[in-house]
Amino acid sequence: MKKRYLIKLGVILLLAVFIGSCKKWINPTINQDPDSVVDVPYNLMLPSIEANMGYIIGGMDYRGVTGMWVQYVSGQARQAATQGKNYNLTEADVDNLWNSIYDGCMMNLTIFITKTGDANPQARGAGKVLLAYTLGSATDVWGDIPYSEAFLGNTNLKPKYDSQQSIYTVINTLLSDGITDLSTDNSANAVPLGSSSNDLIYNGNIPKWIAAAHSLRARYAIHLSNKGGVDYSAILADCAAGISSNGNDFQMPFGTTESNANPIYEFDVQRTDVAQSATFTAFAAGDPRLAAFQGTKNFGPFYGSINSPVPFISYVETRFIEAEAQLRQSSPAQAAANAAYDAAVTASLAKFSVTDATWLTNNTSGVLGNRNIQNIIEAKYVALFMQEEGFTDFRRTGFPVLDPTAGSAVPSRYPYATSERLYNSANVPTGITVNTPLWWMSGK
Amino acid sequence: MKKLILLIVLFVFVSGFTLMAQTILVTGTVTSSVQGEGPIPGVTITVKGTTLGALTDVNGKYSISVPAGATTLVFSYIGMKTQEVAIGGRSVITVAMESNVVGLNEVVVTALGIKRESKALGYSVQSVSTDQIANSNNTNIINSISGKVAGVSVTPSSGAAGGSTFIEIRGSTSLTGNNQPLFVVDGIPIQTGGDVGAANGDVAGVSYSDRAIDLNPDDIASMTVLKGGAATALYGLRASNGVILITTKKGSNNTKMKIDFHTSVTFDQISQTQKRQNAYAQGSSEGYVGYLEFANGQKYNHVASPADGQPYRNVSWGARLDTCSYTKDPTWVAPDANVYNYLNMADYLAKWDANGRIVSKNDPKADGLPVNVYNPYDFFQTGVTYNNSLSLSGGSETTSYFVSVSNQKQNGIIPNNTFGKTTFKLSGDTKLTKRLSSSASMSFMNDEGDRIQQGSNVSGVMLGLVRTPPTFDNAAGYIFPNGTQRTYRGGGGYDNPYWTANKNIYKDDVNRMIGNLSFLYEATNWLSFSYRAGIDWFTRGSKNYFAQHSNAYPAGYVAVYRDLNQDINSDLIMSIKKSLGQSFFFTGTLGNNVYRSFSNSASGTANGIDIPDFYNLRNSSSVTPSETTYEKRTAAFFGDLGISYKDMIFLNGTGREEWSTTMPAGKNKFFYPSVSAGFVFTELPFLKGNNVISFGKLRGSYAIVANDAGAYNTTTYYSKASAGDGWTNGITFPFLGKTGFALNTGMGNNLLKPEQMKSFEVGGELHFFMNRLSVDIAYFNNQNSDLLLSVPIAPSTGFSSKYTNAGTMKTTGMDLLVNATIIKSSSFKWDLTLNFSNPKSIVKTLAPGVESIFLGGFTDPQVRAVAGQPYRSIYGVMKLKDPTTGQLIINDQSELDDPNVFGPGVYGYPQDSKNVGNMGSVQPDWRMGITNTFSFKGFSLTALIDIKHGGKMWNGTNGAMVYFGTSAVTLDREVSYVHKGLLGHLDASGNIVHYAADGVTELPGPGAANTISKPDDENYCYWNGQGSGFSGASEPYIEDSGFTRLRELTLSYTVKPEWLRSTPIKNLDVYFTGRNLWLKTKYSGIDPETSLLGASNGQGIDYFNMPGTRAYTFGLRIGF
Repeated sequence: MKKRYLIKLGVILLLAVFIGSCKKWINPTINQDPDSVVDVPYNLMLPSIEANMGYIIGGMDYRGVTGMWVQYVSGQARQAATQGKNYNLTEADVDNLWNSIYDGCMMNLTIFITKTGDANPQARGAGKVLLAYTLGSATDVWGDIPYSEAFLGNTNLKPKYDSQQSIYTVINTLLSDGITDLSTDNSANAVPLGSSSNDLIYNGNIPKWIAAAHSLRARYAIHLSNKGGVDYSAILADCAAGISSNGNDFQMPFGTTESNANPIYEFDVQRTDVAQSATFTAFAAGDPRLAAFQGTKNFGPFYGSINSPVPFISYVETRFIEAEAQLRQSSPAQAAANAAYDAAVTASLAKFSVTDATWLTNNTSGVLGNRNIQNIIEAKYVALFMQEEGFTDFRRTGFPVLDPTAGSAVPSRYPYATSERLYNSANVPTGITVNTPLWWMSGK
Repeated sequence: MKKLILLIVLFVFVSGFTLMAQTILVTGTVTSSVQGEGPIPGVTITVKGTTLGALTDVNGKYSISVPAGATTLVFSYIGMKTQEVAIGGRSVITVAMESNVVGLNEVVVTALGIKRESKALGYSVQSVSTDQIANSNNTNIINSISGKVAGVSVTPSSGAAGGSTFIEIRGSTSLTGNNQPLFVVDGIPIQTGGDVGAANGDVAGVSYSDRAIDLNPDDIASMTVLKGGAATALYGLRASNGVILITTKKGSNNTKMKIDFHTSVTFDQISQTQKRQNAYAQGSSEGYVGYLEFANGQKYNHVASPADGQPYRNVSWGARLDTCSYTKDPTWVAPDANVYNYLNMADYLAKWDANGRIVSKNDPKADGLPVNVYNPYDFFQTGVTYNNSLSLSGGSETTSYFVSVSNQKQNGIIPNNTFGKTTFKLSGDTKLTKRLSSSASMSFMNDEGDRIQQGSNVSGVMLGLVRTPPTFDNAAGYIFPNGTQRTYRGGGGYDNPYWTANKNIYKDDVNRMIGNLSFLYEATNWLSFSYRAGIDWFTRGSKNYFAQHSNAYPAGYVAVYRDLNQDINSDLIMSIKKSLGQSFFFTGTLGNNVYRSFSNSASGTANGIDIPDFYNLRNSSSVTPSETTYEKRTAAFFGDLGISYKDMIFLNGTGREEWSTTMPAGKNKFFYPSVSAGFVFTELPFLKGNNVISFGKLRGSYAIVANDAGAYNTTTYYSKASAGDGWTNGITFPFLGKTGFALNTGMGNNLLKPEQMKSFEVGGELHFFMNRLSVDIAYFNNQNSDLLLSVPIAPSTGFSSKYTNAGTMKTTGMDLLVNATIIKSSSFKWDLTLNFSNPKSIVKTLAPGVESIFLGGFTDPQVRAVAGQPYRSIYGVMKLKDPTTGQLIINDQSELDDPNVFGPGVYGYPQDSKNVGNMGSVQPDWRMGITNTFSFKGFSLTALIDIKHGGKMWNGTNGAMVYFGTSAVTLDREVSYVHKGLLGHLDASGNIVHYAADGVTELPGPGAANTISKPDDENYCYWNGQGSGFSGASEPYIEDSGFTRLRELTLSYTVKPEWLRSTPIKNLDVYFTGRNLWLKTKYSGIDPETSLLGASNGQGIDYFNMPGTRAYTFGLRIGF
């Protein structure tokens, strides 16, 4: 009797005490990460998007490798030598860049554009401008890339690749729509780009955003100079509406602390595997800006300071685009081209805080005479030191004439990332090497 | 100092006991009860409750001095039933020992601490007694079982003091999750994995501890390894990788206080080094000899003007040392201000380069002295470890206690690498009433480590050390008066190892408490209830700093980290043991388990400090804060039913129903069962009492075990943003004063299911010749399915991974354990134990379209899980080979061989394929441990030989050393030979072609055998990088990491108890243990047992790992 009682007591104890509290103990809220959030306001995404773009596109993965290829600098040791000097850039080497651009910058931009929506069209417009620039940067090293089926998460795990031609159409549309959005009356939103402006680039200044969008539209239009049918009057109109002074340049600022540092500065102090390029030094011999480009470390103060900004597109570039467009239009306007060229070179010296009136006189059209396409591209190559347009213009025009490493040609593009080849193999273009030309490199 | 205190304590006890000691002498004879066998020599007689003991002599006679209070003598002998005989005031006691045919009334601890007779089990368990680990003297208890348990694989990360160790039982069960077993101490699961928050699995940083290191080996009574699914099924989720049950020492009832003291000192030495060349100077034939520049521009020997503004001081491809000499003339060479930040050349020469600077022998200013070669391995020192442990134990009729304190102080082989540990333990058992008893224990542990940067890390010790040219003396000084570094590279690149050891410091400390409280209520003689609650609580703090001018953080760096970890576990268990009639015996267990694991950490990281050498977060304008939390809870009901028939047939079944918070709501409950059976065929009437096969059992089991997801994987989150590339430290938020959030690149999944393992095991156990020989064999087959992993997806989806149930894996293998007493005479005994295992884990499938998963490593190579391949395959860039014959393709493009251009090194050499491929599996073919123990009188000699056959390792250290010209492999740089292979190259579209006779026309496929003779010179290894593993294919640097090593050699002597009769000392042992005294391996790196990524799944990577050690321990154990 006693034993039976004890057994019952035991069983009841076991079941009653614990089953009752089990539901509470296994509470689903326990599995919500207290250190992350399931949603954020769009204005807290903007600083992260802009900083990522600045660091990734402005850093070694993009401007570093392409900069070594067009001999702004020279890869000397370790991976910099392999990738930059021997042109041995493998698909694994570009994984970080591809990932950062896709699941970092562009995915967050897509969400940003959705979140801002019709309620805040001006912020949406800024998002479209940033997306257009990122997309342009990506297609200019990879050619065909996913866009129309990209950023859909689980809905489409194998996005198809869009042709570079269609990507260029998208860029143009994004910029045009961006300009429309930015020009919308947005008085309902007192601070369109977030409270106390989380816009690190323009501090919420809408007219500057609109000008940058025009300059970018001009840039991506002139990239197609080999394709024919380019509307140079539209480019000239965009240049006119574009960035109007050095002070309005579309560029990402960096900070004075190591954790907010410019990526080229970080590379320069942490790796030191690149050296000044003999080719560039010879090319820019006597140029007063050389000291701003090259320094006691490998990069000069303009690019290699801790808080150097990363320029996306500038007044100087806009003037060079204008100069080229003036010459390329059906009835070339030589005088206007010369004037734009002179304005670009003059502004470039000012941008780097260099004054050398003699050099300037000797290096503008007054002394040099009429400027042709080669003159414009070569002057642009120097002025846009370590920017990706040097690589794009070289592939588009063949200028400046470089001195490739023996037995090789300067590559035309990046390989596709390992992550895409492995996990989206059905769609990744095949038969591509780093020397396969991009669509816009050749005519028609 | 601590040692002194312990000695004082000891002496106080010694003097106290001298007064108390009073003994009587008992003598007698021990015979066998079997007719005709007569007296038995070598029987162990101990006084119960003490360690006082004696052995019978050749005539079976013994004498033993027994303390006045002692009541019982224990007679034990292998193959005989142990007898306890009451002394009852007698001075002559004669005993007849009965044969113990079964020998297996041995009780083993199984899951949940349930004690079972080992013969009743339908699965294999293996115990390691305290004797087997006592003299190993490893800081980490895991290292002490290496080679001693069949199926257990132990891999220390390195010889760094306090470094972690990776342990696996019967291969791997998870793809990217934890593969290490659950540790259960006195019924309470404890944390043993890598430090929470500290990145075990990083290729850089310091070697962290795993948390098994906290345990005091002297507190451990026994360890039992539960291997298969059926053995661990009752533990549920956490036990899918096997369980190591640790039972700690307890006091005995009715025993006076016993004091045990153990002291030892261990000397560690570096075990093996990577071989270097000592024949060529710093520099390049493109650069200049040595590390000097010529002010007058004069060229000697190989000297040429540095190209591209870069002097080639980073490599050791310079002149032959026998063509060089020194000059002390300060005017002869210009001081390189950029390099040394030190402008007075005479002063520089006097202070830092006492021999002068290297010039050609033919230089007019050369002093004619030969150039010194420095041994960088002089950096390492003899490590010393002091170990002291004191315990007190005893008990009254109802209560027993055990108290211990231990201290360990280790100075590693690397300067300033230290590890210290102090532990306290208090445990007690008491009978509260006739039926109710209780026990409690509390341990406190404190660890302190000073760790040194290692691995792929510009501040890593080995990285700077082995790349140093033979002509540069790092030891001559690492810091200039202006605070900058003196390195052979002129300050840049990577740190002087002395700088790292002195200026880049990582300190951590752990304070941990493990406590448990349990009650046992024996309601009747067949029914009992028990309740056990335990807590494992610890905090870990670390402070890591890099001085300004360190290459990793040139502006200086401070990181402070604190965490709190808390695991609680509660078990309520009802047990029934009852005979059912004459032949059947029934056991039953029903229980409930509740578990919570919680951790929270906060950290601050300052990149850039303002005041030099002031390492505080306040000394920075840029501090990045972080906070991390982890919580998981489970609850479960379980049952275990067993029935046996006549001690011959045993059947058992278990079931566990468990809820876990980490699974999606509504799908968070799962059930898993197990069945097992044992058949002791020697109980069959016609085999019983057989003298040849004394015992024989067949057994089999089948279990389904589940494993849940990690926490927080059911949702996609936004997290604090950051940006970085593979080149730099990157940026963190807050950025320019703003916070920033970004969507995680890992996609959450609310459709997760638990992982499942179907575990099948059959085996048998045979004992021959009265247990002189026993064999235990098991074959197992584990099928893992629905393995949870973060499956990589195309980043163009907006995510780079998706957490989901994907993989399947299969592990099969065999465990074999043989015990034999080869010689047994009155004074001499030779025992042999052999264990063997060959688990092989094969990844069967991964997610659709996913061929492989990254487990750890670099861009190239990586350790991967590849579908259809053995788990942990090393993937990397291969050499270009002919797919048909497998022969290397030797480049035939003579147009690339332009002597006027530096750095082709392509023509006539093997080439890289640019493709990654499987270069072999890290998993060994088999492992074997052989222990021989020889006992002679009081002496005992034990030798453990540990063998690992096969298994690959990437010797990236050598790959990089070839690039930099310091590897001994580069000694033949001037010797031309014909690389074996077929001529050919890759055409523009990536196909293998070869040139026709015209040298222009490309014909498909490879051509004839290579006849071009070329040296493996700096063009090939450095300028072109094809011949090194640093910038070329990693395939040539994959090596076999098999080994045969003398893991442990212990010589111990136990002083005869009768010699101690007149002293208070009850037992006295002295011993010497050598660890890793002898090693035979094909592996050319620092040690075939090493893992850059520590206790993580990314095994098989050696990239500037800290070397392993050889250790010599001298120890003393004394009991009062």
